[in-house]
Amino acid sequence: MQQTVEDQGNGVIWKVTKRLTDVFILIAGAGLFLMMLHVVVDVLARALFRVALPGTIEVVSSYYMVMAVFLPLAMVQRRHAHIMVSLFTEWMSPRAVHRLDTLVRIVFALAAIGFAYVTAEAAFDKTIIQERIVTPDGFVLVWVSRWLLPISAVALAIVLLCQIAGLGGARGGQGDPENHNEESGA
Amino acid sequence: MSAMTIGIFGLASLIVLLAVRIPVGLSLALVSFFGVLAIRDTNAAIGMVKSMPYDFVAHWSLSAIPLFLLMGNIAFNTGITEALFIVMRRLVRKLPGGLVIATNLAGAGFAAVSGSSMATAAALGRIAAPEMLKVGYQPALAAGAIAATGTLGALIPPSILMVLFAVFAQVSVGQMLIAGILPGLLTLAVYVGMVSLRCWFDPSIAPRAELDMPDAEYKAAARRVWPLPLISILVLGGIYGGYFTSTEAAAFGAFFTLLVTMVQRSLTLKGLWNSVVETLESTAAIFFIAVGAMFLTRFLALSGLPFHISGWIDDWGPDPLTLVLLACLVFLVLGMFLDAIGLMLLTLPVMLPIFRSYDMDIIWIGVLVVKLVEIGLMTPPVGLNVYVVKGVMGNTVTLGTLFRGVAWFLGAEIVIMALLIAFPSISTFLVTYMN
Repeated sequence: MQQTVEDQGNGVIWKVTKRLTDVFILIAGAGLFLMMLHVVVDVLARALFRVALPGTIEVVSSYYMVMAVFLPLAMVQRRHAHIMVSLFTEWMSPRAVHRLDTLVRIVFALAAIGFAYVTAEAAFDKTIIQERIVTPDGFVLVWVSRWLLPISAVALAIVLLCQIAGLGGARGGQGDPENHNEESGA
Repeated sequence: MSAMTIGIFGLASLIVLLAVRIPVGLSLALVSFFGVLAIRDTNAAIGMVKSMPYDFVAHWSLSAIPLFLLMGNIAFNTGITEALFIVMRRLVRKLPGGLVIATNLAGAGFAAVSGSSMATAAALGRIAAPEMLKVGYQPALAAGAIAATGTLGALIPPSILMVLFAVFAQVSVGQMLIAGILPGLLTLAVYVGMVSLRCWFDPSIAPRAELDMPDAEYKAAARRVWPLPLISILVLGGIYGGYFTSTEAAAFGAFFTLLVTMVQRSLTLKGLWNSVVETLESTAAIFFIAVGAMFLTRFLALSGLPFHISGWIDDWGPDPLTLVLLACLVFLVLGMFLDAIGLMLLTLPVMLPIFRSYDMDIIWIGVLVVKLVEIGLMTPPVGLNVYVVKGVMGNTVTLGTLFRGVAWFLGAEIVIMALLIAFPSISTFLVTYMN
């Protein structure tokens, strides 16, 4: 369970960004449900009719998993649910923590942009060669899911840039002692 | 600068980055990227970022994690924990400290459908804490029991930590999950024993009280929780009997939990949406760290540091028990400051090669590691389970009282750890007979 604090920001750009993260969560949620149903149907088909659905492992691994892991990254940042250690900065004033968080977000945004660039290059290469996994019944095209990485990283960078620009609310939840967002739910 | 010096410098930088509030996953990624760049070249560093995240995530065994999380979140958002507490409260009402024992049992029951300890602590804090305080239980006992009970979630399968450990240590996920059953039950038994003894010797900390509980409430709760053992048997029995892989068991577990809660009409659309969002957030946050930890593993392997440490330990020549105790100490100290998943994934790249060089049973080591990082959730100053309970209970208990209450359970943990270390078969017995 994540304890998260929603941003209270306003403005068109932030609203559009929020909508974008919601859409990403919807797509990732659809992937999560499809993963569950696909695996259940595959097991039942094997048990009842001795027929396996072709490409289950490949589709689950290369599509549903990639959707469930990367697409929500922007939402996690929007709700400040990335796991971090706040113990050593508890003595700092909220203002100082806010400044530090802004600096961290700048570094994070740069890293996200770099990641988007590098993974877009990889996705482009895989698109050219039409990357596929060969299965006993044929093949599964997987190059499409490679693009989910740069797309997710760009969305993450947009959320971070909005937060840096102060569009996502003044304090954005971070630096709030009630927001123990270093938890992982484990 | 030699590769090993870069490795040591990288680990030191990691501590600094973590201390200045850089998210754990990003800290790991930054240190590893620049570390690989310094040891090799830009191409090697970019190559790592280009391929590793996708290759790591697109992994069949790891897909059990979001599915287990979904199963637990649906159960959490439909109030199954509360219903479990109501049932257990009735069953153990005659025992000394009955409400605390009911809390322990409800926590264990919830752990059988959830891999998260903090969700368990939060749910129990809402229902069990007011109940215990109302009948005059000592606040330290009540709150401490809730925070400690949460840790059962990571031992009794399903467990997110166990799946992650198995994938990183390259052992069977199914075996790792099954290995947690007996240690989980042992923990439960020692907790219940400790609480019973304390309340028997000093009844003032948990006065006996006639419970104000209408039959109708109990029956309604019992109707809601009866499918839980069935789902648990389906998941565990399927893995144990070799009928399911862990991912298939997780998919069935999530599917049946969804089905049951829909039939019982306890799952609202809002509850479903919250379950999905919480699942995806946890999944992304966990994998962000896991990918960072994969980078760190690559960086440290290139630096040769784990092998040098293995060499130093070989030269020192401690017996395996000393090594395990030393590892326990490291985990306990780091556990005071770090979150469970972060702690486990940070330490594995260094520790695993050492354990392997001693030819230790990695399944047993996995159980010890998971147990230790969960103990870290109870130790001050950063005992996250304790903060969760404090958050739920508010001003009815101070943080100091809470940590005092937890101290009794930490004492019980020393007994449990001693047993787990002295008798590795507690962890490996069931695995030996798996199909």
